[in-house]
Amino acid sequence: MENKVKFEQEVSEFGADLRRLKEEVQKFIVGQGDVIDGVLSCLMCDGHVLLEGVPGLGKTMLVNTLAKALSLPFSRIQFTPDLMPADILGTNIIEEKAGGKQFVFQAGPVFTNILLADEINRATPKTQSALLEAMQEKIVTVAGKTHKLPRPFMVLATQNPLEMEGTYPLPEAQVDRFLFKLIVPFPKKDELHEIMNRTTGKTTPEISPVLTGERINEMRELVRAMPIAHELSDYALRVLEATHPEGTDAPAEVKKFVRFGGSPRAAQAILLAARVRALAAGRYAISYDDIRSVVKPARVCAPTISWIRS
Amino acid sequence: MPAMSSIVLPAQLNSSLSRTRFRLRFSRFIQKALPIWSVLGGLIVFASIVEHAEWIEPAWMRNLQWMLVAAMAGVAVWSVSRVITVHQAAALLDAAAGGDTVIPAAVSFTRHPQEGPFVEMTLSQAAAHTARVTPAKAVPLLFPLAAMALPFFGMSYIAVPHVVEPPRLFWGLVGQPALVNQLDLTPNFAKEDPEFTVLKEEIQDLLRQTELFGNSKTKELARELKRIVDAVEKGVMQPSAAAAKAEEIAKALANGNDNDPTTKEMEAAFEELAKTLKKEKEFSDLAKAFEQKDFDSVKRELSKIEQQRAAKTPEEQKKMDAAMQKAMDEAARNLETKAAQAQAKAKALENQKKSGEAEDARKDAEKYRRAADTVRQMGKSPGEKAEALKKRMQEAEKAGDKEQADALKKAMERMQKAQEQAQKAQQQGQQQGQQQGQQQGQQQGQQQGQQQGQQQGQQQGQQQGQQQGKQPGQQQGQQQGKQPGQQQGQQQGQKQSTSQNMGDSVDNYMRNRSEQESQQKTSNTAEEVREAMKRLRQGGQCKGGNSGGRQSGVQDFFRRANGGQPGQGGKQPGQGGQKPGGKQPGGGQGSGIGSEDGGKLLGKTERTEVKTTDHQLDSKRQGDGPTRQQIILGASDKGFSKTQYKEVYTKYQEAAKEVLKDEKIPPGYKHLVKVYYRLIRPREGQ
Repeated sequence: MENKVKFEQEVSEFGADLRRLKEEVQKFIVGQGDVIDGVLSCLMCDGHVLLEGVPGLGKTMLVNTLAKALSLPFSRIQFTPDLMPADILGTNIIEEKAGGKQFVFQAGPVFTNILLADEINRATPKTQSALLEAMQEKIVTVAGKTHKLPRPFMVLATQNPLEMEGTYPLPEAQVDRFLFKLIVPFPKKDELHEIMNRTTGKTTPEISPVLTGERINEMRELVRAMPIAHELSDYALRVLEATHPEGTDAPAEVKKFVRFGGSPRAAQAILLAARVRALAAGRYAISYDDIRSVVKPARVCAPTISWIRS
Repeated sequence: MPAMSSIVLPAQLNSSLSRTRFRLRFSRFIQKALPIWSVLGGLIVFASIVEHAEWIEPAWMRNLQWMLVAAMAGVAVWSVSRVITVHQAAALLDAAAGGDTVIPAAVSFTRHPQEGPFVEMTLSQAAAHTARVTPAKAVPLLFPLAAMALPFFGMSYIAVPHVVEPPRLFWGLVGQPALVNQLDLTPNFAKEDPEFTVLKEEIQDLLRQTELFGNSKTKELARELKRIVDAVEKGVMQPSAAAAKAEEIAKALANGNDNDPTTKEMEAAFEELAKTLKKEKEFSDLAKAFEQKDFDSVKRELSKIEQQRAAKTPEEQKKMDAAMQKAMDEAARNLETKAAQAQAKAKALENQKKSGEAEDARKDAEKYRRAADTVRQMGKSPGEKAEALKKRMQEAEKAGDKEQADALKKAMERMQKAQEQAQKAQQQGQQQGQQQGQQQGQQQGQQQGQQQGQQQGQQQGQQQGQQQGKQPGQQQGQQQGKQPGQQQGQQQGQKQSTSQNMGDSVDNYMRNRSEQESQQKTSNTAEEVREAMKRLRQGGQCKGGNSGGRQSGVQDFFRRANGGQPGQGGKQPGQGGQKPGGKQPGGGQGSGIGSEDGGKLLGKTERTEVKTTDHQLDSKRQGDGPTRQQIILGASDKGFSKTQYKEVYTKYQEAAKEVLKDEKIPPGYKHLVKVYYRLIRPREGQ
């Protein structure tokens, strides 16, 4: 009985912490509730997020605010075409010491807890790949020596769908490394009013840290401890299968326009994010609604679309 | 994260799931099966209407109804036998409880076991959800609109046998022509239920026929039919029970059909014999009678031949016998040739792999072969014929054809019985002949003696003359009386002639045919009784010759229209009729039509003064039809038919029978036509 009470408390604290974090972020960011939820889900799932939207929608501000609310080290890299992998990962430099000159690893900006990769599509594929490897493996290898990235580690990349000239759009294989790809929508009019009030006034809201890195790791553990009913995971997989043109349940549109369906990573993203959603609501099992709500950001529906066929 | 012990699916949840599954199954039955049932139910009602109205063969409609009922059962099984998983029931319960998938998740955890605090908490949450919701809320039973038709069809199905009737005779509906009413020429049968009257007459005919020609079984069944109809008429037996009994009788006759197999063979033999006898001049009339299949004439011709033969010398008799024997031998040979041809044809057809036609040809061959034997047996004595029949029966027994053997055994028994009856009749004939002869002889002798005595008595005296006169008369009478009996006795003791043996065969054939006909007639009458009882049952009343409420209503209408009081019997003959001159005796029967108004149904009658104007009408035709005068004059111009009504009736009845047999006419209407012909059939004296 005591265990049960403890467990209930643990689950309710999870929801409460997540709500506090969201509220803190929303002190600065007006609206964009779904985007914030998506980002926080990725945070709880130990995943990374790609934010896509036109300039000026507060993508960078969102990441800044999140970093401040978490009281975690935060780095920002502005991606440009001349950015080199070493500029991200770090490099060995010669350092004179008492014993003479020796190579010392100079850690790059990737060695942080929250990393903002701003306009990631402006860097060359070589640089993009360096970051993506770090994102996937959570390690950095330089000159044959492997360096572990700190935990929690989360990359929040942004990209601008406009001005595509001189950019290197992320290949699907690399987009797949992000747990969520969130489209940042243009704010509504009343939200814009609020943004104007907050950003053009004399005072700016104070962001105070609400979660520590340790607490985030605990919360991540709880998320992964949640079991998923067979029928529900089956449902998620059927959704995934339906995005494949060769799938038996694929709708006519998929068969006509889609070349490749979602990858297994998409299914993983669905089930992880659904767990977060259930826990945030204080539930002990995920629902069909949880699955449905995360299908879109998990890019199950954004596989390679073949316009040639149409 | 604290560890917790595993728990099972709560009992309440389990029970709710079971009930939800059952309810879901039932709901599917309602949603899927009931609309289809409505359609099938409508078809069943329609089939029932068609069955009871007898638009087409009722048995087909009954079978169709059974098929539709089977289809309904099939639909019901299909609708409830579809797989309903626990997960489906859980999802429905969950949706009713709020829809956060806790119940399906809990069910899933028990089916795909997982442990941990999350599972336990999910189970307890599911139990809490279940307590909030009932299976009725989870699966509400919504009846489709189409299912509302089912009660209507159900009631219709019950009502159909009471409402829908096959076509039957309603004399009242037709109404009587005015002239017929005035003259009270309504035929007797029209005053009663025509079917019932006809039925009784039919049974009387049957009894007469079976008493003359039927075997003991047929006679008993015919009497039983009469008992049934009498019982129904007296109200002792219900028409439904009577119909069932009549059906049993019809079935008993159908099962025990003991048609003599020799009948058809004999027909073939007679047909061939007619051809060969035609060649002999002295037998040409006999051949003609055979050819026309008029066996009464055949008997007469054979009797004539026998008389002619008796008048001839022994040598001439031998010649005559030889001529007849020759004709018979030739007929037998012809038949054997035909049998051989049929056999060859059968073989040829068998080679062509036409097994059905080959079988028919083989049967023909067998028939001709048997017919040839029959012709050969025809000239032989009854004893020899019986022996041949016995031999054939033994052959059939050996061959394992039990049906044939039984039929032949019965035929043999019939023949023996007929012989015994014939012998008995001959003995009675002898005795009667002797008695009659003696009486006649005595009377004649006395008369002759008296006459002779009167002549002689002028000389010898009256007393003496009387004594003398009596002696020769008595002697002569005794001799005359003895002669026919003696002759018959001698004939019986002697060997019969060929024509006599042929006569025996014809007798035998006629007896068999009559017996079969009486059996067939009994069977037909049983069917008619069953049919009539069914109609009586449908018509409601059966007693007192009333054909049903509808008809009685119509009759009542006509009665009241004719001035009768409501609820009273028929017309009041003679009462209130005008007696011209007032000199006629009041007790006589009037025309049946009163001149007074029909009671005070509409209050007191009042005469109003109306100015009338007389118009002189010309005699030209005003209407479409001819006037009565024209009809009578027309008839006298054409002359009256001299053809016997019986002949006309037979001709038309045969034509009607052909049409009924060949055309697709609803059974109910067939019955109507049959009843009509029975009603107008010629009675005695017509």
